[in-house]
Amino acid sequence: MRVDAKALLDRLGKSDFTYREFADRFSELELWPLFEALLRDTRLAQLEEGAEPGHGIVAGAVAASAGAPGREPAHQPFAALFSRYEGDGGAGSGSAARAAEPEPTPHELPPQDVRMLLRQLSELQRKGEL
Amino acid sequence: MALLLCHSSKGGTGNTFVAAHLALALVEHGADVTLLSTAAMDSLPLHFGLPPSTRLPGFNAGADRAVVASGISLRNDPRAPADPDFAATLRDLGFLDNGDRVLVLDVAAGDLGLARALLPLARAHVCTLPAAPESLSLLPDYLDIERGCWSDHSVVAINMLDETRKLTRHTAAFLRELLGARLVGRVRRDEAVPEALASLQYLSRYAPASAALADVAALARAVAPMLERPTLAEQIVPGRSWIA
Ligand SMILES: Nc1ncnc2c1ncn2[C@@H]1O[C@H](COP(=O)(O)OP(=O)(O)OP(=O)(O)O)[C@@H](O)[C@H]1O
Ligand SMILES: [Mg+2]
Repeated sequence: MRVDAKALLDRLGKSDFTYREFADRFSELELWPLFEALLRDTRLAQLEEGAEPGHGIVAGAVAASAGAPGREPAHQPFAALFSRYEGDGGAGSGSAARAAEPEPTPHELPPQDVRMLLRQLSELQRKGEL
Repeated sequence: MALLLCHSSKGGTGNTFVAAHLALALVEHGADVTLLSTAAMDSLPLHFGLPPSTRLPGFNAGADRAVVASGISLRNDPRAPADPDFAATLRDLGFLDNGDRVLVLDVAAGDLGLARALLPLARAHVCTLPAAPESLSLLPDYLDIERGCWSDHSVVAINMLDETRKLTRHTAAFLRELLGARLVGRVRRDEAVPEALASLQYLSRYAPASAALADVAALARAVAPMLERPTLAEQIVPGRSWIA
């Protein structure tokens, strides 16, 4: 932080300097191929099942450490997030082509999914969690 | 004593910074806090305005050798990662018995084995991550029960958040969706953090208006209640220790 900016902020007692003008522009949110790859990783399923810390994961952890078989591979975590990739020609079909491009361009969200996401984001912002 | 484990999937994410500030916040809330780093090359003293020549005592060193900053007993035990009995030693010394004391452990990312061994004893595990591609790509392995370091008591804090950067913004939003309630805080990138280190000053003194300072305080408010909960070990065999 520059000295003058720091002095000004200190003088104003402003402890919540934030980039709100940037945080608002979520309409341009893109889903990058890395995001897509992650949504296809079944190991992230436990995040969905035990969303609240302190609930739900213990039993799974114990079962797995006792050598119980893993989750069914058919299980698709984050159905809602994942659905944004539907109609894209399936897993990785575009990824190879994109990888060959010098500057890979991330996906644009389909319009109605953008709206859904924006609703969620504005809800989060309303609750002060954004 | 409640154990608060700070360990990240990746080095250089601000794990030590977050551990130091969680410890400071807990002291402010009236807890009796020991902050133990297990890094061989330890930058912990710097976060307390102490000069680089500072040598922190080992975990078992007597009170006469204690280095206390802001009421926190600072310690460094670089042998812990190679000591297979470290977790058992913690228990045997009575450090994990109930009480008002809190042990904040700063375990470097590379010491995954130690973090895994400590995880069942921890009331809370905070994984500090920047909103960056590497953080995302390591997440499935980090959550993997066989290879990673993730339990019911694990939560994530985004650090070095810079929302002027498009990819950071998108990655943070994605992490938020992915982690839900497991994402307990976000700390903005703030030059005042390294500047305070260079000034050999506490961040709170160097830049009281620091965005990162306010954020890390909010993070501490989210993490503190977790320390009231029983550990994973206590949940599995109530009243009995995890390590037989
Ligand atoms: N929110 C932030 N804004 C700006 N700089 C930060 C922030 N958090 C941490 N830093 C800086 O990033 C650097 C790395 O931080 P730190 O040493 O805490 O990371 P670490 O994860 O403990 O690293 P290591 O893997 O080496 O132990 C430090 O210079 C620190 O001052
Ligand atoms: Mg560190």
